[in-house]
Amino acid sequence: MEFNITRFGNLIKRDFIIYRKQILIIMLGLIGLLLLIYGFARITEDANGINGEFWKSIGLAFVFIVGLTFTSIVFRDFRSPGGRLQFLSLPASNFEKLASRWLYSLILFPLFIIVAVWILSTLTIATGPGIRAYFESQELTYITVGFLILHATTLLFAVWFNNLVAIKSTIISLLITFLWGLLMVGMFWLIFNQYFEGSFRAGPSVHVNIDSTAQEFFRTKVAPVGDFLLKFFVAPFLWVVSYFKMKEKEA
Amino acid sequence: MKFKKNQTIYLQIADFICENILTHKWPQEEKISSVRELAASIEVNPNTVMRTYSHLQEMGVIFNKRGIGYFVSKGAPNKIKEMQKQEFIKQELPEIFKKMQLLQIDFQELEKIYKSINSNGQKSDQN
Amino acid sequence: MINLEKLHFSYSKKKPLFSDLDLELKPGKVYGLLGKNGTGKSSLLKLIVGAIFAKRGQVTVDGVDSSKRDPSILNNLFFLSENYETPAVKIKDYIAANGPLYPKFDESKFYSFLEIFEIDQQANLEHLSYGQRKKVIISFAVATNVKYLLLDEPTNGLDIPSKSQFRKALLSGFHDDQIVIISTHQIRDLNQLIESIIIIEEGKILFHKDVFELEEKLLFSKSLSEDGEAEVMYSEMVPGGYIHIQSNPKGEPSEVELEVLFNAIVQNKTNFDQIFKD
Repeated sequence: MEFNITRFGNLIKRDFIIYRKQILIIMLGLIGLLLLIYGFARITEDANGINGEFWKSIGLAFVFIVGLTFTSIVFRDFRSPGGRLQFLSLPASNFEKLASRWLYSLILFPLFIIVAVWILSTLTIATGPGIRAYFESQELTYITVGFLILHATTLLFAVWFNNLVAIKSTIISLLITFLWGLLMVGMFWLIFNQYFEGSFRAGPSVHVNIDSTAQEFFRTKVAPVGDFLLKFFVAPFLWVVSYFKMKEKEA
Repeated sequence: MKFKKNQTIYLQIADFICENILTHKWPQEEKISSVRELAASIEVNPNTVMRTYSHLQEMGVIFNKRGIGYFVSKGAPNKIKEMQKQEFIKQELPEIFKKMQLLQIDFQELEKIYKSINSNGQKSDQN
Repeated sequence: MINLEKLHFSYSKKKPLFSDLDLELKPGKVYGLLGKNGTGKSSLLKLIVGAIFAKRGQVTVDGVDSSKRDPSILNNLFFLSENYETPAVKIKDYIAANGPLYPKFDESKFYSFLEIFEIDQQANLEHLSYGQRKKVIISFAVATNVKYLLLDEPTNGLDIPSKSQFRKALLSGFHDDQIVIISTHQIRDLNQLIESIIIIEEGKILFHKDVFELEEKLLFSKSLSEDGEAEVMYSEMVPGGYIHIQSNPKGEPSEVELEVLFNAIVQNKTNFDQIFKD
C-alpha cells in the first residue's frame, strides 16, 4: 500500500481539471435546487416563519440522496473498457486511486452540501421569521455513522461494478439488509424463544421476559459491542474491502 | 530468370548520402545531419542510420569528430566516384556485356551509339 | 526489461489465449508485435501494463510483478490502447491534468509534435476528429519520455500524410534505453521502424527475431517470373512480378519485407527453423 502525497495531489488535481465542468454543473444545479426549495418554503410559510426542522431535513436528504448518487458515479472511468484501461494504468498506486475518489465523495462533496445548506438556513433567519435548529450530538453521531456506512457500501460497489452502480448497489444493499435482519431475528428467536410470550400472529404484542441478569448482560455487554462495531468497524471494513477490490480490478 | 536482390535499407541510405556529397549539397569537411535528424527526416530507425554512418566511415567518406558529429571527409567525392566505378565495373558492366552478346551488338556499334547520344546531349545542353 | 514467463491467460475456461508463453524484451529496441485478429496482441500489452492478470506464470517489468501496478513502473510506462478515450477539455488542460503524473514529461516536445501533426494548440479535444485526437495522444505518449511505450495499432484511423508525421514524431522521441512495442496489422506503415519482430500464433510466440539477423540469414529478392533460382523458400506475387525469400548462405544484406515474411510464416507455415538453428 503505497502513498505519496505529491502523486496523490496530482491525482486530485487531475480529476478536478478533467471533471471541473461536470463538477461545476452539479454544484450549480444543487444550489439552484436549494434556492428553489428555499423560495417555495418562503411562499408557503406561516406566521411563525420557517421551522428550524425544515433545513435539518432538507440538509439530511441532500447529503444522503445526492451524496450517495455522487458516490455511485465517482468511478465513471470504469464504464468503458478504454476508460478502465486508462484509469488502471495511471501512474499512481491502487490505494491512491481509491483514496482520491474517496476524498471527493466522502469529504469534499458532502462538505459542499453542508456549507450550502448552512448558508441558506442562516439566510432564512436573516431575511424573515424563522428559527435555527441544531442536531443533538447523539443524532449527529447516528447520522454520521449511517452516512459513513452507506457511503462505504456505495463506494465498494462503485469499485466493484462497471456500470449501473446506483441500481445494483441499492438492490444488493436492500437484499443484504433484509437477509441480515432475517438472520438476526431468526437467531434471536432460536436462542431466546423460551423467554418470549404472546405471538406474532396477534400483532405486536410480544413480551420479552428475560430475567434482570440477562437484561443487564444485554445492556452492558451485547449492546456496546454492537454499537462499537457500527461506529468504528463497518465502514473501515468496507473501505478495506474496496481497496482489495481495487487491487484486483481488471480492465 | 535472374532474381534481383532487394537493396538493404542501410545501403540505400548510403547511396542517398553519397548522392548528396557528389552534388555538393553536403560539401567537404562540413558537418552532416546527426543520426537522429536524418532518421526522423527519412523516417527510418536511428540504429539503421547508425549502421549507414559506420559503413561510410569505414569507406572513408565521412569521419566522426567526437562529441560534435559526423563530417564529410576531404576528397570524399573522388572516393565515392572511385567506389561507384568499381561497383559499375563489377556488377553492371558484366550484365551489359551479357546483353550485348545476346543482342549481337559489337564495340563499333556501341561506340557509334555512345557518340550519337553524347552529341545529342551536347546539343540539347546548348539549347 | 520486460519478462513474460510461462504465461497462462484466458478469458474463458474452455480455450486459453496464451499457454506457456515466454518472451523477453530488452531495452533500446522497437518491437513489432504481429499476429492475426484475435491472437491476443492487445491482451499481451494489457498484461504487461497490469490491467489484466495472468492466470499462471508471471509478467515482470524491471523485475516488478506488473499486476502490482507499481506507480514507479507506471510513471515510466505509457499504453496507447486502441480505444483510448479523451476527456472533453482543451488540449492545455489535458496536459495540465496528465503531464505532472509523468516525471519526464516534456511539454515543449509535446507542442512541437502537435506542430508536426498540424493540430491547433488551443483546440478542445471534444471538437477534434478521431484521427486528430489520436494524434494528440500519440504526441503526449512520446513526450512523456517513458521507458516503456506500448502502442496498440497506432496508425489505425490516421490519414495518409499523418502516417509519415507519426513516424517522424515517434523517431524524434526515441531514446536508447527505451522499449517500444507496436502492435499492428499495417506493417507497411512501420517497416523501417521495427527492429525486432514478434509473431503470436495459437497462444505462443511463433517467431521472434531481430531484423538484423533476418537480413543476415534471409535474402529478399524480386523477379518477373516465379521459377529460376534454387533455395527459394517462399514466393509471393506482387504487382510487377514475384517477391522471394531465399536462404542466404553468403550473408548478403537485403531489405527485409516484414509483410511478406509474416505471410510466409503465418499463412503458409513456412518453416525457417533450419536457417536460424545456429
